[in-house]
This record gives sequence, structure tokens and C-alpha cells, in this order.
Amino acid sequence: MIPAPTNREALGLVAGFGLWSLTFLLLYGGHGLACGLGARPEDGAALTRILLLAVWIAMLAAHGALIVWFVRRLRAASDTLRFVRRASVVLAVAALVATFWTGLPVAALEICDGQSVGLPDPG
Amino acid sequence: MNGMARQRDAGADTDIPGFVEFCHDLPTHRGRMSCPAKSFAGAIAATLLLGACSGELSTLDPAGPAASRIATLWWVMLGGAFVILLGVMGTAIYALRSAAKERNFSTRKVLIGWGLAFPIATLLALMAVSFLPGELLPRSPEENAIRAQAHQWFWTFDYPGGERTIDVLHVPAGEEFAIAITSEDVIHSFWIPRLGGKIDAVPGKVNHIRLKADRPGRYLATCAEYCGIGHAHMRFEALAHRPEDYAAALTAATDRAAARAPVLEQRDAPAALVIEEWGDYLLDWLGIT
Amino acid sequence: MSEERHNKALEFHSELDPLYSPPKTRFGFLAATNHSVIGIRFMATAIGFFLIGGILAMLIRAQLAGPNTQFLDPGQYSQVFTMHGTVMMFLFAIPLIEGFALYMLPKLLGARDLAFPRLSAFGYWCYLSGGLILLAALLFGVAPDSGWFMYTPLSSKPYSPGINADVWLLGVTVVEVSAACAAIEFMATVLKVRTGGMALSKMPILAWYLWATSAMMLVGFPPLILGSIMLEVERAFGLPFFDPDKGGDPLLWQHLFWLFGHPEVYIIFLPGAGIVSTILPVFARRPLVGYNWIVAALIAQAFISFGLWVHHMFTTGIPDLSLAFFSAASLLVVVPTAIQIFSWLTTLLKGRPDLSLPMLWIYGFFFIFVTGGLTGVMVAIVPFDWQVHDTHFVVAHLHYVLVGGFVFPVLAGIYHWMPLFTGRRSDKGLGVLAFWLVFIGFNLTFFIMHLTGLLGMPRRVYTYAEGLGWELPNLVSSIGGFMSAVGFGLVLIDVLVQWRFAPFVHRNPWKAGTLEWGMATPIPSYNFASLAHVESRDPLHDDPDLPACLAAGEGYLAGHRGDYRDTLGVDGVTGEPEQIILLPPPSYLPLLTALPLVGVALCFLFSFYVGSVILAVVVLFMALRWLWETGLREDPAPIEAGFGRTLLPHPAVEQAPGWWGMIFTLVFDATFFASLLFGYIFLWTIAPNWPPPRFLEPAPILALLTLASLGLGGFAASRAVAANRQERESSRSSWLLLAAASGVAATFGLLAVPIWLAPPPTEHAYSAAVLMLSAYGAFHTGLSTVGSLFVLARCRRGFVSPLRSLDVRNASLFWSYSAVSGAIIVAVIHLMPLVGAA
Repeated sequence: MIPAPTNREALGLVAGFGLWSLTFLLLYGGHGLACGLGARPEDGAALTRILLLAVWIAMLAAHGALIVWFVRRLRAASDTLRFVRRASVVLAVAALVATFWTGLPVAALEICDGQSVGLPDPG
Repeated sequence: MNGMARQRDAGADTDIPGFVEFCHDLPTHRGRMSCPAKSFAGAIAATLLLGACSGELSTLDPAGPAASRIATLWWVMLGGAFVILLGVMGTAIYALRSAAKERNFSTRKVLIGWGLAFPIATLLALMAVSFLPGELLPRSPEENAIRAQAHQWFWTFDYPGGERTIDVLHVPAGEEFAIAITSEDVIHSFWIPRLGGKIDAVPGKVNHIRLKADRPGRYLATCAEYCGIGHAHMRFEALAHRPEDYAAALTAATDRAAARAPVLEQRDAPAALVIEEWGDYLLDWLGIT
Repeated sequence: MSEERHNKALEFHSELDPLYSPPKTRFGFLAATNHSVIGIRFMATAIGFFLIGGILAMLIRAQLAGPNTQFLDPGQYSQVFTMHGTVMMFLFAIPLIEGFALYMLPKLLGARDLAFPRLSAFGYWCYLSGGLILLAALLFGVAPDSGWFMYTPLSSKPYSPGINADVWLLGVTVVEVSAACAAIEFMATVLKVRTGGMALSKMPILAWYLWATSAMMLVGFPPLILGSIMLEVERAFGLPFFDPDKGGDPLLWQHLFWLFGHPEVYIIFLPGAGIVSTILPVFARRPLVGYNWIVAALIAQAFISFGLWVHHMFTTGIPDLSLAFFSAASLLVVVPTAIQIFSWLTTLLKGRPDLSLPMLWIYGFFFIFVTGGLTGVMVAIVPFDWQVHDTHFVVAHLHYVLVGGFVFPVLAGIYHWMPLFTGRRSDKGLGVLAFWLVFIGFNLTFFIMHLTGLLGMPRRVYTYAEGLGWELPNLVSSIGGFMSAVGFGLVLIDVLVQWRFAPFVHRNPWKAGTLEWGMATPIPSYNFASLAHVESRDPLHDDPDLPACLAAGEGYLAGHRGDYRDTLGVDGVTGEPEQIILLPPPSYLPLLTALPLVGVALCFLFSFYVGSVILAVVVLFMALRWLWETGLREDPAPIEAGFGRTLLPHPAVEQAPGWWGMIFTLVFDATFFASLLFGYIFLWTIAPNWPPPRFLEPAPILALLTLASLGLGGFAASRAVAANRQERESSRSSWLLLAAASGVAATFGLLAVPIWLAPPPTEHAYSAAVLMLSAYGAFHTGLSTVGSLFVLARCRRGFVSPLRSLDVRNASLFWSYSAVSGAIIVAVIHLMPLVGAA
């Protein structure tokens, strides 16, 4: 059931941005969930921010590990596999930059603050 | 448009930010130029541009701090966009000239420099600008918010003191006011273009916005989310009063709030009637009611 | 070509052309599966819809040319603008891409057809039917009228009581079935169905673009289909997914829609960019600069475009941090786009371009798309978007990127590939005039529209008052609109005239290097008499003699090996020939499967639900009948494939296209499931009026029994695969029977919840979601049961052996998916109330 070895190489092309997608899901979803469960700037924001920053840094580390692994594989590549493995490295680096960029708001902005933080109108 | 904006005009500063202040300084929404223009071309350009900018619903004719900041941002982005567009098209057209000399430059340098570094730098700058505090107005819930409720196809406003108005919003001029917005039926959108950005009126949710009108006056507003056949007519107006006149204006307004704004006037549109007739005929013929 | 080669070419042509052409009987065209035929059908139909969308646009501009116009009333106008968007996005853009890919991919990849030719035909019938449903509604005056993105609650029953919205939901879903089928097919095709030696690094860049586009379609369409189903059952049965009074949330629709909607516009842009990347090097007379960069950029762009969707919702009242994520991602996506643009500019600068007609359109693309991209950057900035959202500024932006990024490259493509379609071309004619009319007209219409929006004119208003400064800009826009309409009309005339009257040209008039030019023009039904072995990205530049060699049978798979069609299958990464893909003959089955499917939608539309159920069973039966036609009854011997190799046909190979087809189908399915889970969690945490009046009755025994039967079913199916590998036939049958029995038990266990244990689904969004999740799980276990029995029958008839294991492996894959997704459903349904109560 496992794809043939060469076809698995193609998975390397999507691994980097797969990590980015996961990060995005965790950060955006995590923040949304926290706000939905009642976190507010006055109460619960600090904890939420710490958790989100931890996720962000952990994912950046995972990106780093992925890049290192892919570079090793590139060095060991035969001619036929060189293109795919090089592309995998490039995409993994691009994905690291993307994750860094996407997570910047967590460091810079207020948690759960915004236009709809009032409780629904009872009336 | 860059050039036009820089036309010397005797009565006003003419850099782009200055131009924006020029629009901004107009005493009424109908904005007529009040300063003489030295050069004829400048007058025409300024008039055209001014005429083009002004309008009761114009975002380029700001009357409040939020709208002003956004209008300035717009002019800056417009300038940058023009430069980039000219650059790209210029390069593409230049490439058509027969290759008199070999173009031997490093592809890698171009792709890294222009393809990566230039966009990343520009976009980082834009991102910083848009996230700066003050660009995103603070919107914590406000006890004294005016409650706005959208309906198909009119607005009701309930004030902290218990008053109610329909399709007219009374606010104090020169100070920030807060609105809590929701909808009774479908999604609408609350938008006073000359004062600031819009916020949707979503049923089951209350959204908040804080705005400020610099001066007393009448500011037209409109619903900005398609909400059915009356959408095009779903206007309201914001009347900003001097703070000392505000309470009195509110009391007076409530007394006049008896009649609801008329809903859509049915019009006989010739094309529509014909289409409807044929449609009914076909449906009948097929036995579908 | 030498005399001998010429004779051989004619010989091959006379034996291959009848084999690959559609049947010549009166109704034979209904059974056609040839990709060129289906591709042209898709493209021609799409262009027809483009013209209809264009007429609707003219109605809009006529209405808005002046203030207080009474040409159309607001009800009619709402149908017109809704249909304009719907037709252009769903019936023109995506189908044109599908048709273009259907036509081009095999030729680019050096193959004779795609992986699943009957699926292509099926897709066309679904598209045509869905399009006709929408068109019929327009003619009868009941076209959808809540905007092309159908925001709830406006499109919910209370505010849209007629069938207009149902037409959209059902019609578009039928059309999207074709998109889903196309996506699965293209993914499998680009991976496996290439000519010998075409490694990933040697694939034409357009194939990369189309592959990325298909991956995006695979993951982008499920949220839309889910949302459409949810809204339709809300309207038909009162399941309150979007009703805030009952725990629903109107914003859930927006999230689901834009999860699809934003990738959709990149799905539309990428093929356009692919066309530019293909045509530009040909006319610049040098290879594309930065091939590797572009491959990386487009993969990055495909991913990042899924992280932008909330930028359509900046004004809905979302926390600042969330706004910032999407603003950041919306800016980030500019980087891969910039890389592509600068690659193109560098190719131009380093080449010797000339301004032929296709290049005029490419230059038009540069101007218009870059402008659109720049305004896109502007609206990605949240405060600015708060002013221009839902105004004509956005209308201007979206037309710049869509028309610039897609329509202009497509027109360049039509002129560029005209010799392939017709064998003729000419530079004289109306082409240049038509281009300038379109270009100038388009800019007149939409450039000034940015100002119209900044002056405060909202979208979707059927008229406007005087004195707001909107009269002159709108009049200019309307004049421009008519100008570009005339221009498009001239383009159409020019293309038709060229089709009929232009002089024939020598093959490959542009001296391009890619394989689609390596055949006689107009192209024969079989593409290549024999398949090439390629060593680089521009095989025709390496060996200008290649087309002659191929036509004379000096490649892989020369001629035919029986009375069947075939093409080469390769290793996905290296391009080493690996298998011979047997292609099916023409068949009526695609049409006969599509018709009842459309019938299901139509019955539902007219509330005849019993009819829907019956016809759904018919669809299942036809699908099984279709699947029965696949495979071989005996283990095959290796076949001569050319260049001294012998290869097995695909039913006897591990990595057959059909296996990859199942993988990609499961990716689609998993995305649908993930969207469903997202919806459930969203409603739970964000929607108003939660918690619901009552939760599910706790039923731990039922949950455990369901989990057990799910696990058993998945396990049994995998054991059947192992038994098959070891040629233990009775063991294999027993395992399949056990899998089927477990499937029945699991289906029962899943359905028991909404039928007996959960509160009525109309009471609250909670129970509606429980019903939806249970139905999804039961649908899959039901299909797994049917699949297990089907494979059992296949075994009995000799279709399955250790070598020919595709049936049982695919069934096991599907069972595994059903088991895992079912287990998640059981956990979520039975555990969430405990969390909720806490």
C-alpha cells in the first residue's frame, strides 16, 4: 500500500508547505478556539499568547529539522532524483519563511481583541 | 495622476498629503474650491480631481480621522502602484527593442533581488503600516454604544437614553462615538464612508465600531452588503451635532421618528414585465406553479 | 520525410485513426471518450457560456449607464448579476480550464489519452447538464438571485422562498462533480501517464501548472460542495446550519464558501500563468528562464492560496489577530507571483521577442494582471479594505485579475495553438483590431471603476441617485463595456474565419520545442503513432526529426497491439517506462451514469425526494456496471513496448493509475470530512445560542460496538489483500464477507444515532450536525459494504489474482478510510456532549 520509493520522493515537494499549513491551522484555529471559549484581553490572553508562541516556535524548529534532513538527502541523491530533492529543499526553506511571516502577528497583536468581543445583545 | 496631484496651486499645499488635507478641509460635503488657482492647468486639474474626489459617499473626501488615514494610505499606495506598473511595463516594452547588445545579466541576481527581496521588503513595510496601533481602531465593548439594528430595508438606532430614530443617526461631533451593530434578518453592512470603514450587521452577532466626525454636519451612509431588492435604497444619514446641541437634537429627533421610512417603491420596469410574462407563460405551459 | 517513413506513417495512420476516433454511427458521438473530442466539447461549451455571461454583463452596464434607470427592476437585476458571476466562474472559467487540460495534457506529456477517458466523458455530461439547469432557470425567470456567493441568511428559505437558490445549489454541485472528476484524473495523469524518459524535471512547465491546479481543485472544491449540501438541506428540511436562532451561524457559510472561493481564483489564474510560461519562451525564442524557480513558486502559491480566504470577510467582525493572519498571508502570496513575473521579464529581456498576435495578448496580460495584483495588495491591507470592501473598487480589482490573468492568456493560447486545432493560421485579419478594442474597452470599463468604488458606490445596486458623482464614471464604464463586447465579438469572428479560411501551415510554425507540436496538424485522434523517449524539456529542439520518427513508428508502442487503445505508464519521478495503460473503447456508460445523477438533482429540486433516492440507487448500479468493465480476466503476459522493453499492462501492476485515482479520491473525501469537522467545531464554539436544549443520550455500548465493527471491517479488508497476495482464494472470500458484514453493522451503528438517539435535527444546529456526520459515516461504510461484495463477485469471475490485485487493494484502501473517518465520527459524536456538559 505504500507508494513506490520514487513516488515517495514527490511527497518531499509538499512536506515543507504541509508543515506551514499545519502551523496556520494551529495558530488560526487555536486562536479562534481560545476566543470562542472565552479568552479576552483582560483574562486568558496571556496564556493564549504563550501557547500560540510555543506552537509557532515549535513549528519553526520542525521546519529547521526538515530542511536539515532534506539537505542530507540531497547530498546523497543520484542524478535522477536530484531535481526532486533540490526542489524539496527549496520549498522547505520557502515554507520556513512563510511560517515565520504568518506567525508574526502573534508576537505583535492583542489576543481576542476586535470588533465583536461584546456579548450578544440580550434584547 | 501623480503629476496632476503635484500641480502648483496658489491656495493650498500641493504634495499628495497636502492635497489630501485640501480635500479634507472642505467645509461641506458638497465641497467647492474656495481658493484661487494660479495656473489654468492647475485649476482644471485640481477641479477635475476635486470634482472626481468629492461626493457625499466618497472615501476620498474624508471627514473624520479614520477615513483621513485611510485616504492618505490610498494615495501613497496609488503612487507606489503606478511606479511598479510603469516599471514592469517599461521593462516588457524595452525587451521588444531588437537585442542590439547582448543582455548578459545574472538571472539568479534578478530573481533573488526583484523576485524575492523587493517584494518581501515592500510587503513587510506595508504589513507594519497596517498593523500599527491606531490603524486598527480599538473596539472594546462600550456601555454607551448606540445600538444600530439593520432590517430589510431600513435602520433603527437606539440611544443609551432610550430614544429611538429611524434612518437618521445622531452623533456628537468632534468626539468618538461607539455603535453596536446587529441585524434582525439578513446580513447588511453599516458604512459611513466619509467617517471610516464599514462593519457588517450579522444576525445573531453584535459588532462594534468607533468613529469620529471632525465637524458638525450631515454625512450620508449606506448599506454595503447585498440584502435583497431594497438594498440600493437602504441609505441612512449621520447627523453630527456640536456636543452642546446633541442632547436637544436627540430629543427633537425622537418626536419626529413616528413614521417609518417608506420601503421600496415598486417601479414598472418595461423589460422586467415582459420577461416575467414570458416566464409565467412558460412555467404555466410546463405545469409548474 | 523519406519515402519509406512516409509510407509507414500513412500505414499507421490508417490503422490507428479509426481505432481512436469516436464511433461513426448516428449516436456514436454520445459514446466518445477521446480526450481531444471531449476537450473541445468542454472548451466550446465554455465559450458559449462566456458569451451568455457577456450578454448578462451588457445588461448590467446598460442598467448602470445612468442614474435612476428603469431598464430592469431590482428583482430581475439581482438575477442578472448573480447569473453573470455564476456563469463566468462556474460555467466558463473552470470548464475551460478542464477542457484545455483534457486537450493539452496528453499531447504535452507525449501520451495518447488521459488516465481515465470515460471519466472525462462523464465529467462533460455533468457539466453540460448542470449548466443547462442554470440556463433554463434564467430563461424561466427563476435564476438564483442572492449573488454568486449566495450569502446566508439571504439565501435561506425565509428570505429566498423560491427555487432560485436551490437551482444554484443543485446545479453548481452537479457541475462541480465534473470538476472533482477532472481533478482526480489530472492528478493521476500527470503523475503516471507520460512518455518514456519524461522525468519530473523534464515535464513541460504547463504540465506542472496544471498539476498544481488540479491539486488545488482536489482540496478546494469539497468545502463548497459541503456548504451547498448543508444549505440545500437547510432549505429543504429545515436543518438550521445557518440560522442563528437555532445555533447556526451565517458566517459558517462564508467560511465554507471562501475556503473554496479564494483557491478558486488561483485555480483560474494558474493555468493562465502556465499558458504565459509556455507561449512567452516560444516567441522570445529562448527557453524559459527560471524553470526551477517557477516550479517552486507555483507549489508555494498553491499552498499559500489556501490561507487567504478570510480576506473576503474582513468586515464581518473578526478578532484583530485573525485579521492579521489573513492580511499577512494575502501579502505573502505576492512573492511567488513576483517570481513568476520577473522570470517572464527576464526571459523577454534575454530573448528576441516580437509582437505577434499571441504576444499582443500576453502584453495585455502583463498590464492588466499586474494592475490587478497591485490593487490586490491594496485590499489585503485591512483598514483600506474596510473602506473599499463591497464597493465597485473590488469589482474592478477582481475583473483585472480574472480577465487579465485568465481571459487574456486564453486568447493568446487560442491564437498560439490554432494550428493544432485547425492546421491553419494567419496574421492578417481582424485579430489586431479585436485585441485593441478589447484592451482599450476593458480598461475604460474597469480602470475608472476603481474611482467609482472609492466614491462610495456599493456592489449589486440596481440603480443609483444623482449627485453622488457616480454618473460620469458609470457612463464611461458602460461605453467601455460595449466597446470590449464588440472587441470580443470580433475575436470570435476572427477565430471562426481563421478556422475556415486561413491558409494551411507547416507543422510547428512557431518552432516550439514541446511535444504537442510533434504531430501532424490538425492533430490526429491518436496523437502519436508511437511514443517518444525524451531526454530534455524541448525534445523537438533536440531532434527536429522526432515527429517524423514517431509517425513512422520508431518509438514506444508503435501502432496497436490488438483492437484496443493504449498508452505508456511511467514511474512518477524518473519517467522510466513502467506499464502499459490499457485505454477503454468508446462507451455509453458515462452518459448513462451521468443522466441519473442529474436526475437525482432535478428530483431534489422539485422536492420529489423519493425519486432522488431511487435514482441515486440507479447511479450506484451504473457505477458498478462501469467498474465491472475494468481489468482483465487472466494474468497477462508482458507485452512488447518498443526500444527492446516488455511491460505488463496496468491491471497487473502495483502502481496502476486506478490505484492513484483512489488515493486522490480519498484526498478529496478527506478534505470534505475535514471541512465537516471544522463546521461542527465552528458551530460549537462560535455560533450563538449554544448549548443546545438537549444533547445526545449517552450510548457507550453502541459507540464501542460501532467502533469494533469499523475496526473489524478495515482489518478484514486488509486481510483479504494479504490472502490474495498469497493466492488463498477461499480465505480471501471469507475476509471479504466478514468485511461486508462488519460494514452492515457499522452502518447500523452510525445511523442509529440520528434515528433513535439524537434530538430531532430541525431543533438545533447541534443535532443537524450530528445527523450530517452520521450520514457521512454511514454513507462510507455503506459503500464499503457494497464494495466488499462487489470485489467478492469480481473474484468469483476471475478478475482478481495475486498479480491483478487492484480491485481488492482499492477496496481495502477505501475501507481503511471509512474505518478511520468513522472512528473519528463516533468519538466526536459520543464524546463532545461530555465535554459540553463539563
